[in-house]
Parts: sequence; C-alpha cells; structure tokens
Amino acid sequence: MSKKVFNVSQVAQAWVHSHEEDTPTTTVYRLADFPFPPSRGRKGFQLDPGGTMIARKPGPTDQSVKSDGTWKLSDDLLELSPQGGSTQSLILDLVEPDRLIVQKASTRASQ
Amino acid sequence: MAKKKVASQESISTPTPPIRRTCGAMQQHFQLLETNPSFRKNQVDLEHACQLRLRTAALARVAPYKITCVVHVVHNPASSTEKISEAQVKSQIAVLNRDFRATNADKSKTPAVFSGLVADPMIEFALATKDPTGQATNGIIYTETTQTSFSDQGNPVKFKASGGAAAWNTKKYLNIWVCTLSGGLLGYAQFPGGPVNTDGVVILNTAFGTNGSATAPFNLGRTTTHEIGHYFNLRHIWGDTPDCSGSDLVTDTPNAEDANFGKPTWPLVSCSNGPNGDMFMNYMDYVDDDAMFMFTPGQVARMHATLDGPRKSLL
Ligand SMILES: [Zn+2]
Repeated sequence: MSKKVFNVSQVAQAWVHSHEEDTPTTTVYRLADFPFPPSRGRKGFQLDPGGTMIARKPGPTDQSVKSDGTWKLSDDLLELSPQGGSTQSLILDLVEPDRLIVQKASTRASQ
Repeated sequence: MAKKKVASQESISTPTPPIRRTCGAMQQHFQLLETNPSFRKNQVDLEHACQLRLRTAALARVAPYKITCVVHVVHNPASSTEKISEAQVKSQIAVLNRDFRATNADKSKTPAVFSGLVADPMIEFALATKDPTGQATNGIIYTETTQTSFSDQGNPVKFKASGGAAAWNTKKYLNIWVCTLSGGLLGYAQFPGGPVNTDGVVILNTAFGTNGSATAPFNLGRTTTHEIGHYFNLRHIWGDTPDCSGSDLVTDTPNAEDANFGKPTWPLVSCSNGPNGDMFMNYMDYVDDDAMFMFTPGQVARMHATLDGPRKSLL
C-alpha cells in the first residue's frame, strides 16, 4: 500500500464528524459550517496551522465538551493530543477542501 | 434469583465480561467527565452509594415508581412550529410509559442473543396536576421567548434572565424543557447530584413526542427516553471514551468502543465483543429512534438505586 501524503494547509480547518456519511471502513468529517441535520452529538476538532487544536465531543450527558490540545501531521498520519487525554492516531484517506476522510481503526488493523 | 438469571445470560452474550472498575479507577473516570469539582465529588459519592445499594438490594420491585413531570415549552412567537401542542406533549409521555415499562412493541426487534436482557424499569410518568403552589395545572407550561435558539452550554433555557423558563421544584418534579437547541443537538440531561436549579432534561422540539413537529428519524420520542436514562444516572453504552477503556458501570452491557449512529445492522463488533457485538439497540447508544428499544437489568438496577437514593424526593 503506497502511503498518501497530505500537508498542513489542507488539514488545518475546523472539522466535525458527519456520521451520516460514514461507511464500514471510513469516518467522514465536514467543515464546521456544513448544514448538519440534528444529532445526539458530534465530535470534532479545530486544527490551528500553528499546531494547537480545540477538540469537541459529546459529554456524558450529551452536552458538548471542549478540550485544548496539540496536533501533528506526518504524511497520512494525523495525531491529536488533547490535554490530559491519550493521543488519538488517525490515518487520513482523503482530504478535500470541504471533506476529510479517515480510515476506521478496525479496518486498519486488518490490513 | 433475578441476579442469577442475569449472570447466566451475560455469559452467553458477553464471552469476555467487562472488567469491574475499582473505586480509584471510577474516581479517575469522573475526573475526566466532569469539570465542576463539587458536582464531580457528588458523582463519586453517589457512585459509592449506588454500588452499595446494588449489593444490598435483593427483591424485585412490585409497584412501579411514579414520576410527576412538568414540561416547559419555550417558544418564539415568530416560529409557527415551536409552540408544540398538548397532543404532542402527551404523545411523549405515552412513549415514556411504554419504554420505562418495557411495553414498547419494537422490543421484539431485539436480537435473540440479547432478548433475555430486555428489562422492565418499572417507572411510570404523569404530567403534573398541581403546580408548586398547589394550583391546578395540566403540567404543560408555555413560555414565550425572543431567543431563536438555546445553547447547551450554561443552561440558558432554564433561566428567565436568558429567555428561558425557571424550573419548578426539581426535588418534586422531573423538569422537561422543550425548545430549539442550537447546533442541531437533540437533547441533554443532568446526572443526579448536580445543581438543583438546572436539574432535568432539555429536548429539541422536533425530537419530542411522536406527532406534530416531531421529525424522522427522531420522531419516536426516544431522545427523551435517552435523556431521562441519564437523569436516572445511566451512562452511555460505550463508556464515554473513544476507545475500549471506558465503562458504563453496568456489567450486562458489552464493552463497546464508541457511539453508534443511524440504523446499524447486527452484529457490530468492537472491543473484542464478538460474536454478539455492541448492544447498539440499547436506549443509551446514539442510534436513530427506531433502532433503540431496550434497557438491561443492570441499567434498571442503577435507575432503582437512583430512585431509592438521590432522587427519592421525586416519589
Ligand atoms: Zn446521552
């Protein structure tokens, strides 16, 4: 499998999980201003070109919870490190101006 | 007896039982989840009390718990849909009385491996017939607002000063606010042990009840079922971590990695929970209304511990 290469300028945006568009093998993110339908909660991350980020996720009673952190991109590996949390490694499949597609971890393990 | 039955079913549905958390791990769990220090301490204390009650509560409940509700409909007169009808409110109460008595017809869709784990919470709901001053009421309070939507941060819908409606005595009434929530959020709740003036659940008006403005795929009233699950101290089926480390503090729900959405096809395996996979049809996952239809005995035990403990004043 040839490794895909993405650059910081493509990825440094505010991305929100568009779970309606997920497939069995991929997780789809859209820009924060996308007209999302109602949902029980959405996770997302706002990536600043300087390497800091704000991550959001549904909290334990569904109110959105925000955490600051840092992020790093090497080729197709996007690492998100929220403060006080463990680093999440995402393998990017595709980055378009309005869409970011990540390989699902379970798919990755079987490759 | 009941306990024994659960255990044997669990060994069928979850070959690898989830690890029971120690109190230390539990405390860490809450530190991750709650930002308000006193609320966090309350949650930890309540969890210890809850675990103690679970160990000592032996007999199955024979009479249902009865909960009195007030529904605050907060609406902007410029909107033609926000002032939902009495019929729409009543359709929601009817859903609660099915889901919290396991009389919902769609429980028959539960996969066979989990069907023995469908439990009756024995909780019934009614709209208030008396307000806090003793005056007659139908339990539905309409409040006009100039706001076009309400944030899930800071609870603006629960205070007059921010365009919302003040709670009725939250020790006596389950307060349900129905409004337009910003960002397309369907609803949110508050665990027991939190601030008294914000206690209750908040539901998006288009996800409330089964008629009127209720809109598919959230038009079967399950958002309110889910949020009241939290209000009775239930946690998300995946344990609120984006990996396999989190727990919902219930032993008869399989460990699951993350929230599921839409209408999943069974089985859906994560966290080595095969062959039966995630119990995504549980009310405490994130699937569509028509894809969730059960609570487990473990969840019911937690709800009863809450109603016998921190929420006893409701009864
Ligand atoms: Zn929830």
